[in-house]
Amino acid sequence: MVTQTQQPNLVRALTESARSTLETMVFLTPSFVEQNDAEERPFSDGVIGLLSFTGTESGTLFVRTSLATANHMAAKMLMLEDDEIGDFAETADAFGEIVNMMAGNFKNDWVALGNKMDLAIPHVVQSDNMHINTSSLTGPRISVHVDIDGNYVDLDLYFQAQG
Amino acid sequence: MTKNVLIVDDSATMRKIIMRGIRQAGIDNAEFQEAGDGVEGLKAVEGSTFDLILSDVNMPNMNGLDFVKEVTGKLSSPPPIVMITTEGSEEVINEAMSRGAKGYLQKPFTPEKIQETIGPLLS
Repeated sequence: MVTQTQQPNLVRALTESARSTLETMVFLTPSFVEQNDAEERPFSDGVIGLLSFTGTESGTLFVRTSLATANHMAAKMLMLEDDEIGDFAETADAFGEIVNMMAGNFKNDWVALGNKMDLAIPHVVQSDNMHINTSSLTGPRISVHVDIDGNYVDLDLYFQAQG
Repeated sequence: MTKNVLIVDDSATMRKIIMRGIRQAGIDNAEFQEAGDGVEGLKAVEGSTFDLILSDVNMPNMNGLDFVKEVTGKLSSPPPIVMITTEGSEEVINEAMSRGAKGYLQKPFTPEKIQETIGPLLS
């Protein structure tokens, strides 16, 4: 059973990281960014960016959205129209950088609290039929839901349980 | 006078955004060469002369910190190197500076921030 973390400063750090990344680099203003209190939802389709980390605590940041929204975000970053995005590799490259920035900005707040965090390289996958097993990540979870004109971007930061 | 700028970043998207950001910052005399990681960056440095190098930190094959160390060790008069990174933590910045970087720009960044950081190095 994964439990939501109750540390409001970490929730705020992830929320602000998502907002500033989207507004400054993707030129998209979220309708709202809020803590997601819902139970973890199964991964099934769309685009998922993963970035693992080690340090004071280990874990993985998952950022999920639909393929259409991921394409739109890539196009906005590159100042292109959605249909000008060449192929999924271009979308994945842009989405991976978004995940990297979201994790990096969270890291800055995490480190400021006296922790250590080493980030891996982001990976982006897309499929209509996919399941990601998070059963080993049984520590606290921080979940943030972003709404961009009715389209979702979900961030789930899982910590691995200690000991 | 044209300034030769090397951008080292494993994301092609980010390289394009950096080039666009530099132009939006009003720096219109820059010509760019791109490298996808530190190994490619070193090859570029060995084959050309640059006025400025912008490098990511977190890259495969050779990360940005090792790249800075290699460049400053290889060249007797290395160009200024600015790290462009999501990692604004003091530890990473101090490590980059101790290896020879002249500054850093934290992602996400604005054209104003690019001008403030990079403008003086290209003037």
